[in-house]
Amino acid sequence: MTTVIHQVEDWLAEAGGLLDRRVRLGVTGLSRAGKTVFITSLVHHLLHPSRLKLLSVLAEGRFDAALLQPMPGGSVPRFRYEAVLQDLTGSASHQPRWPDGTKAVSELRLSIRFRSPLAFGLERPNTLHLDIVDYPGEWLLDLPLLTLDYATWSRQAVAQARTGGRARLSAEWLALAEAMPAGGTDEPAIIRTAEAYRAYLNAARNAPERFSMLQPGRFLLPGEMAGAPALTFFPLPNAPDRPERDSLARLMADRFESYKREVAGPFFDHHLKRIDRQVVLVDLLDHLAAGPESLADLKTAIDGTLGAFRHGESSWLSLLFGNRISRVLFAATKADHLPTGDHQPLADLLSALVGDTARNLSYAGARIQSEAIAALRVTRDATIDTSNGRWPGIAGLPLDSDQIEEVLPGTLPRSLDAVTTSGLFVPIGFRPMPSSVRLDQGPPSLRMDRALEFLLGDSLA
Amino acid sequence: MSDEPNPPDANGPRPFRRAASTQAPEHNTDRPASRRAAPNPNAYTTADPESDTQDPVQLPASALTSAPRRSWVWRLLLAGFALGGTALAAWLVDSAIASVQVGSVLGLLTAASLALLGMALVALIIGEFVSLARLRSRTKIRVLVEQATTTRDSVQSEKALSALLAIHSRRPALAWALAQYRDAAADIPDAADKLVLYEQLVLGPLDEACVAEIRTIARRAAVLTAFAPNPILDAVFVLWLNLSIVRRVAHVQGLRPGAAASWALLRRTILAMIAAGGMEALGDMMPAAVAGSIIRTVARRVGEGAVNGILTIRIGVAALEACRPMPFAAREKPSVTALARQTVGG
Repeated sequence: MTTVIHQVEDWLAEAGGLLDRRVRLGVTGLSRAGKTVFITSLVHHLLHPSRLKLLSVLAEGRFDAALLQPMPGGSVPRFRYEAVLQDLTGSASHQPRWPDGTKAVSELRLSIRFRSPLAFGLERPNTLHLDIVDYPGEWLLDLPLLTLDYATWSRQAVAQARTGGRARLSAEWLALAEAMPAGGTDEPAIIRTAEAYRAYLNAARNAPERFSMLQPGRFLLPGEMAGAPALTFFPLPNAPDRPERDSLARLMADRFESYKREVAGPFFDHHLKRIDRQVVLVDLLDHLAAGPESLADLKTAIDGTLGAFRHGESSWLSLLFGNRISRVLFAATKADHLPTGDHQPLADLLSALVGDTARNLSYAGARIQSEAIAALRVTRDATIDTSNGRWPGIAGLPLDSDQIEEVLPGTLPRSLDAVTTSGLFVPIGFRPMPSSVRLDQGPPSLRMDRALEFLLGDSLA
Repeated sequence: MSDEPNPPDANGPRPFRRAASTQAPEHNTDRPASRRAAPNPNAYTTADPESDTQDPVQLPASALTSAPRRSWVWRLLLAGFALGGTALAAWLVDSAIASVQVGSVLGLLTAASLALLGMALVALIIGEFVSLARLRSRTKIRVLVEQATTTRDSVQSEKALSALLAIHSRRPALAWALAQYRDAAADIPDAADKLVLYEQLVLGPLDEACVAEIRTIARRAAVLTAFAPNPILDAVFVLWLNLSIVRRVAHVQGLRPGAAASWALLRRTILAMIAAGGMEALGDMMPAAVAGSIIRTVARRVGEGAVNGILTIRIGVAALEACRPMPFAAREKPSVTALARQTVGG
């Protein structure tokens, strides 16, 4: 008898689960923007919510607990939360370190149990399922490709490759591509040229300008697709709009289309299409130091990527036509690499950089906010005396050093027009300090609570 | 994103690093002295200069009372009283000196009592001035906090925070709340966000204490009205209770108003009630309905008691708003309707 009762209770609980809230949070960011650390910090914060002081559900005492759940459906690997946390905390055998770059898609569901306020001080228990996806940032740049045809993309890519700092990196590939006969489909030559194109993309990524607009994304991180025909193509100079049968341009266009159909499209459809909140992580510091060309490239990449998503107010029509992204947080990451006084200027710089896109999103009905955050704070503020005066600086463990150093990153440009390569601003990379992350406590961070309040505050009300 | 000919801010810090342990500053003199662009920090703050001037609806109620003006008739009257008082004092002193000169015990006693009276009077007047000044400074702090919250300007927010800490840090009863606030604020980089925490952690307990006082007195008002033997006595009770609620709320908020400050506070409270009136008109339908249904179902006296209780709650909430050094932002203003239901309606 009791088993029957338990069974009925289970059914009822399951039926109640249909009323639970679900939020799919899209953590958008190019490679090295800090997606993995952001997700880990978010999960760790919510599992040990002592430090999210500004999250209203916590401040009002309505938070019960959060729990990691297996993701429904079984085809996507689970996000390696524990492994990343292990990297960040360090162990007896190794120092704390940043996690390695993400190589594949993974997902995680965090269920949050809380109480919704009703009238007259009453409360109702509620559950929010927060679904998060992690993926290689390189792949994000495939999204702008989805709306382009091969000829258009070729023109853009070739024109881009011939400008500024890219010109010297792309010379080898362009020479090979121009030498290819228009009618020939000589596969070894194609493979050679595709390799040269890939080498150019890799070189551009590591160039001092830190180029961001590197397409297609799988060329940088092919995973198990390495060498597949869908990944053996390249933009052609003077690609015709209507290529002839059996021409090189036709072959390239076919492979481009199959790349879109079989690689880029499914990635977007399966993992990113249905998100309803978005955080756009941007690591602005290196780009600010690298100069105007680097920033312009970053802006192109961000604008192109965001264009693929659907933003706006969700309505009852969303039930029919799918969700829209109702809130977008632009987060300048690694704010802890600057003294506190520079945080607001950094957020303002990001606002200015994404200004046009943000206006479009606002017009569509999405809510926008910019914030300078640090998912994991690895420095502390320090006042530093130099021959030049006393300045607010930071102290931390630089990537290339074994002892704590006091650092002045220089003068942060106060507007995009003031960005130069003059060396007035030289940010230094820091790594996590021993014992800064603890397993039983939320990690030290900057404005993660503000970020979460903006992204999830209304879902947790 | 063009290359500017002159560096953005040659006065700013230059890139620099050294090991944290060494104290000797490393000299970074290889940079040629470049043209000095006058730093203009205002050009980059997000603070909208227009947002300082706020929506007229949002002006703190205290602003309505901030500049009391007295007509010349009052001044004349005041001057007359002062002159008369001085004359009276002079006569008293005169006669006292006369009696001392006579050398009687009575003369000495008179002189001593006059001296004591004079000292008490001076102390009273000083006390009144102090409590008035405290009330006035509270208004200033509230305006400061309000501006800081709107602009999120860090300098203004820091100023507001230190002003708030100056009020509260001397109260032993708040030591625990302040310790909790300091603990929490350590994780928060922005002063504007610290204000939010301050309201939640330090003003929260004070608000709750005030609400408890309001509920006690409102219940007393309701009961007294219900059992008062005649209407005049009832009116006197309610008036007295409503005066005492203002004083008790002020006391919890750390103000010890003397007669003049009490009067100013009462005026401010009534103005706050009027200012809130427009907003609360809809909300007030509810207590009226509560009272109305009770009138119909139970008894007229009890209904009148409920109405008086609700009036007391309204005055108490308005007094809380007038005494609070911050506007209600992160915390919700206690709802008269909910309090009324909990206290006298239910």
